[in-house]
Amino acid sequence: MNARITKLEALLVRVHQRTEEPRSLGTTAAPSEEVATALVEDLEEEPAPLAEIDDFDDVTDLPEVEFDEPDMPVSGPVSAPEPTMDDAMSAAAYQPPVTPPPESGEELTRPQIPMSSGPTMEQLGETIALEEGGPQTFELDEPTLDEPGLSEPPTSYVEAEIPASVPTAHEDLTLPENAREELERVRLGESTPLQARVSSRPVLSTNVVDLVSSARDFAPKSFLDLLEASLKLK
Amino acid sequence: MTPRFDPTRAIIYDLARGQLRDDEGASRLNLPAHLLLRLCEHAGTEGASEFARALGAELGRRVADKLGANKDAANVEVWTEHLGGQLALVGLGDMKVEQWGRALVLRISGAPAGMTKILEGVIEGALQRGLSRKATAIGFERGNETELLVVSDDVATHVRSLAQGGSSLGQVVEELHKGAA
Repeated sequence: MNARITKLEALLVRVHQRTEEPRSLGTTAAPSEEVATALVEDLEEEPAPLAEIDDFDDVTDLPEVEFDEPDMPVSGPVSAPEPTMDDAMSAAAYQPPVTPPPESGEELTRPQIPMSSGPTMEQLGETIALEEGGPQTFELDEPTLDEPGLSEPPTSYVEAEIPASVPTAHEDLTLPENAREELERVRLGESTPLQARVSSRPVLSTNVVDLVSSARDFAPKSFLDLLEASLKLK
Repeated sequence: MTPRFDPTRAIIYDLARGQLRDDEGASRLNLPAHLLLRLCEHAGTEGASEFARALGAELGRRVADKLGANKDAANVEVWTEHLGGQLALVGLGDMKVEQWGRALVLRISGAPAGMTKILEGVIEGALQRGLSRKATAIGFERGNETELLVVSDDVATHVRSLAQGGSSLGQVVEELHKGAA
């Protein structure tokens, strides 16, 4: 690699020397062609020994350089590679002509870059059209509580901690005497101090609740059974 | 199979002869209720009760005759249908049978006002004749309804005292169940 760089630097010195020489009109592309030809010849004469390349641990196999199709653009979403020796050679081969001085009266000519007609069949290879798959059903596992982050509910700044001691109603509290009337008055929407007459069912005692339970237990088979049971009450 | 209550031709108005007859051919009278009540008042408590029990016995006999051998095994619904039907035929209201725990309560609605004492005797007579059980029916008036608690003669005095003391039917039944427990 070092030998290549050395040669490349020498080649660039030669290019600069030639560009400083006086040129004749109408031959603006000649120096570039000569430089490219000389560069290719130099490379063919002394190829880089593989042993030297193998000495570098961080260098993998270098891709083979194809000089037959130097103008083929590289496509694909890849990052721009580091400039290599081949890139430098290609750049030298297609170096645009040097801008002529304004006093020469010569117009700048743009380099002729071959238009790309798209990838070739060799590049595409054999194309196989894939059919669209049918609808698929995916089964998702339910998250387990063991998974980190799920054991605790998400918190946010708007949440507040519930106080540990929540005041509860005491059973021994008694209702005010006029609570029912007041509640009924509010329910009826009365704003005047009129007293609403409330007819409510008498409060059943707990013994009556037991009575209902016993009624479910006792199921007379006949009317006579019920009559006799009633007659046995003391 | 238990026969259904059939009121067809239960009362026959023979206007040509000026007679009312029942399906058994017995004569009937169609009297104003308030006149009957006035008569019962003049007859006294015992006389009115005797009259009511006799009327109830007649109704109970008809029920027993209809049910035949099934009268003792007939369920509450059957007795409600037949005894209630007989009461309705004589104009003593619509009867429903209720079970309050172990207590038997007959709820009668639609009877003429002031018929509570008459109804008590009618039920007592019907049960004695229909099921051969001596019972006492104690009435509790609730609006236009009369609730009749059926108890034995032994506790009838205690129940009446409770009722006269202002106890409701539920409280009396609760008290009776405390004693039976």
